[in-house]
Amino acid sequence: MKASTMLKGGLHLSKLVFDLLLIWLTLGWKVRKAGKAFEKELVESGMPKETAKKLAKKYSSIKDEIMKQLWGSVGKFRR
Amino acid sequence: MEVKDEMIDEEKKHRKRGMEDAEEVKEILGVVSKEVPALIKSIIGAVFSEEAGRDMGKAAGAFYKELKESGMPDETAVRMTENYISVFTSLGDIMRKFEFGKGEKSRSEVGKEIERKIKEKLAEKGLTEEEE
Repeated sequence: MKASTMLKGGLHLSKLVFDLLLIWLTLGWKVRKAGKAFEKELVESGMPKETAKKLAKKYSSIKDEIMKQLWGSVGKFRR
Repeated sequence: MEVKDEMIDEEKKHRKRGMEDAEEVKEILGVVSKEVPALIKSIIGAVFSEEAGRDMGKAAGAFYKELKESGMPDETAVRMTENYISVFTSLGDIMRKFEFGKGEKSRSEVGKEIERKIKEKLAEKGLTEEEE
């Protein structure tokens, strides 16, 4: 087996892992930003701030649901 | 002597096959490392971006405003807005529907489709390299 093939394969694999890690790390930040924008629009439409906050929290909970589903799928693949 | 030559030939063939397999794995990894993160990024971007949040907020806000203007009590308007939002946010239910084995496509069918896509990409890549 050529060393260059192994090296290139390893590079691709580490790039994939790094990209996935970066996506996972930036996800929380993106969710927070989207939640804030969502809350701001609700307040601007005349909704009380507390209620808007509660609804924004619900919007942000999609992330947890996605992660739960993903981990569930990973678990099923391993079985 | 002939047996020895045959053994050497067999070993050469075996080594060549191994090299080809390794090349194939390398190329598959190349395609996967490019396509998978891009796919996940675009899915996340569609739901969790400032713009997506703003648009969703605008829609929910307009819904709430209309309910209030039509004389609905605040509590009911909030509850209805909550239900309205849950239409967008019930991603978990949607994902559950597409769960492997339970949906229209079984796990093996999805696997075959992924294999076909990777082969297509590899063929495309091979053509462009030959052209170069």
